[in-house]
This record gives sequence, structure tokens and C-alpha cells, in this order.
Amino acid sequence: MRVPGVDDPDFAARIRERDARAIEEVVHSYLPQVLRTARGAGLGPQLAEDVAQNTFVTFIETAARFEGRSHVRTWLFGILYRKIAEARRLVRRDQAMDDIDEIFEQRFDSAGGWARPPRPVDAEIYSAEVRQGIDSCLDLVPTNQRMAFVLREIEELETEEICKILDVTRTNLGVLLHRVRNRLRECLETKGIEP
Amino acid sequence: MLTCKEVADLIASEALVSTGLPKRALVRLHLLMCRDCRGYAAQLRAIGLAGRERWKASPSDAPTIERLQLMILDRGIAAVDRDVEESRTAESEPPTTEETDSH
Repeated sequence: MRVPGVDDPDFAARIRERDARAIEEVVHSYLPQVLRTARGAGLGPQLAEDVAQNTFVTFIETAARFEGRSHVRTWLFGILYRKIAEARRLVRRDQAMDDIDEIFEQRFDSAGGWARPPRPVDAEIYSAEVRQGIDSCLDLVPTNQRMAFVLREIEELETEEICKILDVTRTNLGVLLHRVRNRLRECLETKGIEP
Repeated sequence: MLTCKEVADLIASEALVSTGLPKRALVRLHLLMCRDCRGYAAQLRAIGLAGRERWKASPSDAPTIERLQLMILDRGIAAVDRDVEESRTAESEPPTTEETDSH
């Protein structure tokens, strides 16, 4: 998504100088997305608002260091990711989790065929049911996996940008997406949510 | 010939994007022939769709966003003013250690 103003070539310089109009444009353009991501990452309504607010304040405070090598949104979401990780560490107890890679393996026989095949999906009905269970299933997921899911599926960012935000390689991002998707699928199934 | 497990791996990790054309063609061929893997792919797509629906923008967010925007700009301007003030102080009279500690 191209944002007028924000995508202008001299925009990075205006950000560095903390030009009031430029800052306002960033806040205006990305606040809804930042707030949605904080909520999608599992923060409660008040905490999500606090984190969104603090993300932009840190952005403004550190704007002098913005070199414009990455997109302003990438820089902003990098800050957001660190704030979310910090907030989630404070509110959420880490829970012992099944090894999702192991569970995925067990879905297949020794020849690599499905041991218990997925059923055909009626996408609309299944998706509506998933919406009921997705919160509690995502709550069990580690922050980096959850963020990978939110940025890819909800914000629909390109994988390259997500890698920069989460500071991971393309292969690592693949592992995160693989785990979160299969974990959700397994968790939903244990709740009886299946196609 | 790819196995179902290999295909599921590629779909879930989106590794297809970075693999070569022959492999992508093999996956497509596999999906054409394999109802189970088509089901798996459709399930993952539906989960993503559910996420987008669950957290999609709502018009009722508008007042929250407006309020937050004002608070951010207020705090942001205060931060910029503070920095300008500090750099001015630093230029005119360098703070003593004591003054720095009291901040």
C-alpha cells in the first residue's frame, strides 16, 4: 500500500528533522494498523492502546536516527514488535507447549502420506467457526509466531518486510508461519472446530 | 513426485515463493490430484480469513483512534520540545554533574 507523503523520497529527511507535518502523517497513516496489530497480538483493549501510543512516542523520540534505508512503516512496526514482546512477557505466563513440529510429523505415515487426512473445507462455515476459537488458540502461541501470523494474515504484509520487522531470515519466518498455522489447526481441532 | 508431507510443509511455510519453477509445478500437480492436500491448503486459507475477519477495522474504533492520535501528538511535541530545550541548555551552560543527576 503506497501512502502519499509517506512514500515521498524526501520523507525520511523530514522525519529525521521531526517535521511536525511529517510526524502527523505517520501517526495518521499507521495508527489504525498499529492498534489492530497490538490487539491481534493478544493485548487487552487498554494495553493495546497504551502500546500503540508508546510505539509512536518512541518513534518520535528516536526519529533523528531514521535513515530511510527501510520503509517508515517497517521501522515503526519494528518498534511495535519490541513493545508487544515486552508487554506480553509481563502479562502472560509462559506455558508448557506440545512440540508442534512433532505433532505435525505424526500427521503423516512413513511414506509421507496423510495418516489422518484433512477433510474438505466449506471455507465460509469453517472460517466462521474458527473465528470463535481463534483467540484462545492464539493465546497459547509464542509472541514471534503470533506476530508472524498477524503481520502475514491480518496485515497482509510482504514476507520481506515481515522479516525486517521481526529481524529474522526468510527461512526462519517460514518456520514461524509453519508452526503457528499448524498449531492453530491442531488447537481448533481439539476444540471440535473442524471442517 | 512430492509426498503429501512435503507439499504440506511447503504450503504452511510459504517456501514456494523462493523455490524454483519446477518445484512449484510439482506442487500444483500434486494439488490437482490430491484432495487431502487441497483440503489442508483450504483449511489454512480459512484460518487466515478468520483472523482478518476477527480483527478487521470497525467504525466504532474511530473515537478511540482520534483520542489516541491527539495524545500521541501531545506527547510527541512535548518530547521534541524537551530535546530542543535540552540542547539549548547544553549550548548556553553545560550542566554540572549534580544537575544531570537531578533529572
